[in-house]
Amino acid sequence: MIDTGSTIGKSFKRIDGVDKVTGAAKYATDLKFNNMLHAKLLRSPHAHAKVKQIDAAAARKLPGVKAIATILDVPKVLQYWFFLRTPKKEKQIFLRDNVVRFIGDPVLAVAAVDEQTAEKALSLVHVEYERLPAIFDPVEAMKETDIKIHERGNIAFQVKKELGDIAAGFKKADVIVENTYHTSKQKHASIEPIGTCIADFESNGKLTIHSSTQLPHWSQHYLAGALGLRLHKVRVIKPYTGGAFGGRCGVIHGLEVMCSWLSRETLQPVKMSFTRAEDFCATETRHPMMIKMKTGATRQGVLTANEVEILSDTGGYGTHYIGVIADCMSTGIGLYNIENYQFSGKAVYTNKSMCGALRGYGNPQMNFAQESQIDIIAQKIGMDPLQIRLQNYRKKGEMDPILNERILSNGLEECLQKGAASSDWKKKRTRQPDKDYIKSGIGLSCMLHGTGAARALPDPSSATVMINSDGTASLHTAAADEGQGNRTVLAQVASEILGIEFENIEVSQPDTDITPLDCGTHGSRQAYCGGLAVRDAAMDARKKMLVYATEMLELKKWDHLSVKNGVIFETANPGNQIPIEEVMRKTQIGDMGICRQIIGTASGIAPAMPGYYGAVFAEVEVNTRTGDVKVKKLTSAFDVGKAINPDFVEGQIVGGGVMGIGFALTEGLQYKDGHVLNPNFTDYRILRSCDTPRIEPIIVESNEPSGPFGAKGIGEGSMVNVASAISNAVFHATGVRSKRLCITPEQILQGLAELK
Amino acid sequence: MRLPRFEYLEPDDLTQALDMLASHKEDVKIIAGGTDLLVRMKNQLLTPAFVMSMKQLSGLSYIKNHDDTLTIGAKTTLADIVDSDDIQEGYTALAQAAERVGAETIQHHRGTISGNILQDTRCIHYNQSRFHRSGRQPCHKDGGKICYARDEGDRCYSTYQGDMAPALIALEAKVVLSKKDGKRTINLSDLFTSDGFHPFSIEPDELLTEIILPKQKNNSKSAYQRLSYRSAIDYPITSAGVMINSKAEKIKKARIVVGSMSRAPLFMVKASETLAEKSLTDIDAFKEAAGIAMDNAGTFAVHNAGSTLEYRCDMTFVMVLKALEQAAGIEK
Repeated sequence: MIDTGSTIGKSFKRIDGVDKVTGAAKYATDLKFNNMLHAKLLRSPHAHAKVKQIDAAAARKLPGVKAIATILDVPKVLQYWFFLRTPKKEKQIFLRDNVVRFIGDPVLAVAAVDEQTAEKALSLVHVEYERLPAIFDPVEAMKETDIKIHERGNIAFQVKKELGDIAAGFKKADVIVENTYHTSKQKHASIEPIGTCIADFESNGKLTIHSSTQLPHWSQHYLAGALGLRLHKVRVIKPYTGGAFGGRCGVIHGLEVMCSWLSRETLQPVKMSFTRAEDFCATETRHPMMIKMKTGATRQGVLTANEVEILSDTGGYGTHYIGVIADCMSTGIGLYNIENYQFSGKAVYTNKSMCGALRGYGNPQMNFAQESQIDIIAQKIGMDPLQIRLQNYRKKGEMDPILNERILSNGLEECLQKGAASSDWKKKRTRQPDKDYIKSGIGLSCMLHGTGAARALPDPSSATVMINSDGTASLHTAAADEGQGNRTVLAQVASEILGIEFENIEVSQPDTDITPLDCGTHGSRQAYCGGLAVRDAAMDARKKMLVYATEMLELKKWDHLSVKNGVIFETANPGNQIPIEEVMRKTQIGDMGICRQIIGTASGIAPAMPGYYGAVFAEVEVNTRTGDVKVKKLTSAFDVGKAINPDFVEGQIVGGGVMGIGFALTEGLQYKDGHVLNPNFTDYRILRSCDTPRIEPIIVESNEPSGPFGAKGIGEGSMVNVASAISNAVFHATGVRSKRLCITPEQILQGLAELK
Repeated sequence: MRLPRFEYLEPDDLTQALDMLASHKEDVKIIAGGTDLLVRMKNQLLTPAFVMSMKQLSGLSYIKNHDDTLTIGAKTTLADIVDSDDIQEGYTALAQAAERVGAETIQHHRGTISGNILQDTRCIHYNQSRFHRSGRQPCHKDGGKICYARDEGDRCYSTYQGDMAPALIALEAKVVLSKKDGKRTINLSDLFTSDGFHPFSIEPDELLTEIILPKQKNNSKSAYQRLSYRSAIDYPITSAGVMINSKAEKIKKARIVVGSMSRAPLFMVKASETLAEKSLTDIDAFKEAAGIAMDNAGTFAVHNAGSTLEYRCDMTFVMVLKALEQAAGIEK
């Protein structure tokens, strides 16, 4: 492996940083085109109803209205953006029929000369609905047989998996703990609202889409299928994006298809951009889950059995409900070596907004339950919560029974030890005298999250590196950067391999006409999967470059050469050298009469789905008069294999910490009769900077052999075990065990009252 | 979300402003800092034909110390109130209330004392986007006949969540309401109608121009406590402004005002009276008063501020008690 120490492990500034802080960066909502129309959606005011008739005649007549598309016009079924590796191979996603399934479900779209006209037109549409009884509670939805949210019933998916002998496992246990946990309907709350698209259908039959998506190529695929186009006629371009966290991971309900349809009708560019309220009410959320868990352990702290039953509420439609439950299973079973494990999961429809991908993808819910259980067991057998985890986690060299992969790197022990030292765990764990009505405590929890999804679905990555005649390079990749910085990281990888200075490498934005196939950004995959593709593409270009240089330096073998800081030299005799620029000028401009552009390319699927690990230590103060929980400090140690850019890794750890505290304490959509009561940042409470505690990031590097320079993921994991650590800390402080997120002040006061 | 169309008025001085109010009456809304008004307009809860800015009105931003009173101009920013030594020392509750409004970076420099006093009542079922409200029958505040916060509610129960008023009423503040042909001075408590639909008794042609605080006799201490989830942005879910006048460690007069539990700040007469002649260190008396305040306030509250009603009632006790302990100087 090439490692000159030039760029890997160094905190380069992000390549788009200056553009973003000066406002020069163009986001999808900033884009304007000639003759561009503005589209708005008419959304259902009913949680469950049949659309009997749509009368849009008056709206069509309104001057300035150019086209109207209803749910009865657009395609009903799409090929899903991923094709699960199941015997069924291809999955379809149900898109539309004449039924609306939650308040905010799109019914019709209007394209008009400006937004105001489009809005006015919506007020002129008359929709006749036949109200249907609505179900909001997943338990009710599961039992209900008369009210069907979808034709085939309310159960979208179920799965069962058994390892070992669960009954025997409980027989061996000295302690058995059984509890039911609930988690909230968290929203991404990205700084740019989810859902902006500009569709431009030209008369030559080519559709160009500018969309703030995480998955440009999968958007291209499903849109081509929906609209009956070949792939070369659909071009998806992703401009700058203000955060995604999974919210732009797939089909955005009512957005790209509607926009494309309207543009095809008008042959004009059509822009649709959701408001924050639309984002809150009608785009995907985290799956709220009810998790029953029964866990057994011996007095010595050996976990002998775990029985898990999950009920996942997927809302009115389902996109990620299978993957999310699968992730609960793989992360839950993968983390600890529990010989006997029974997992069952069900996803059900309810008449609320649909759920999908959100940072952690099922893992935060599962982790809250499982890490609470282990904490309870540790307390019951009188063992240090740190010790019970060290004793049970699945170590390097062991097999992961769900992924069927050997664990090649695992730095969890180092995470636990470093985190414990830095947070002063031992000392703080011994009870301190309380300051009057303020009680303080410390808790910890662990997590495992997979990098990418190569064991679950096709997960392609590709990259192309082009070396220019002046020795600079252009990197073409569709590894969508949502703000986490992967374009910068991939430039670092290319720079290291090519020996071309970091600042001389330009990275494209995803554009399916130019950038090769990449399944996009999800599953914490781009440093790893994207990194592997860029590494291999750069290796390809490097070899071609060195072959020419070999000739120029009058040597025999290209692999006797090295390259660093823009200069190619004989490894054994560094004085014998030639600048890349000279080689490129000669090969490309034609001093030697050859005119060859050097292009390196690579594509493929990552060889593994390596787990990355983390330990979070949370310190809290609980006000026993008001029930208020204040997080005083998080110490978050994460094993990322290798931090290619340590600043970005720390950024992910701190950002995940903030999101995790929100998941623990304040975030979640509140409903009344199917209406979201808090679709704004006054009432949906994400943490403000003045409420954010100190978050100390600790980077652990276990060197993943399958990864580029040893790297694996970090993006999602950093939020996964924050809520469970906080909940365990609250228990340590007060003796109140929370089994429902968010942990509200009401819950704390009620718990304290019950303890008396 | 865009602002609905309106005509923008920018009077040069107070006379011109009062003239404009006199001619446009109900059709005009006054914008001072705009931190409350613009959000309502974006949600199309308000669609005024005219918006009148106070921007050019000089001379309404002041804090003046007189022999018997302290007067505050209506345009005085919350930041200026927090910074005033006179207020910090003599009217602590007011300074504490100003400090807790909204977010320091926004409301404290844009937000004004009169804007905060005249902040409309709120309800989680009403302060929503037009889309949210469009899918159901309009509530009382929206011009309809239904209340979503209280079953069979016969009127609007939206909650007054301003921070300044409870503190000011505890401090026995008066306000000056000016109009074209004159002005009147009323007790701030009389500015509130206790009607959620129409919470203020100010006439459409009147402008709140000044706040007058009397100088208290004896040893007077005040405090304000409020509860919210986050330390910035959030409206209080319950709050308490208290003032204690004492002489030789005995309470001569106490005023307890509870905010964010009803359509108006609630002056808790009974709870306040129980403290007369009690010692400044009589914690049981404070607990008793806080208990009465909680019970009385609880009868007014409805479930419309995001957390459970029971919790808000329980916390009213905690806020009143904390404020009393702080004003009495025995805070733990």
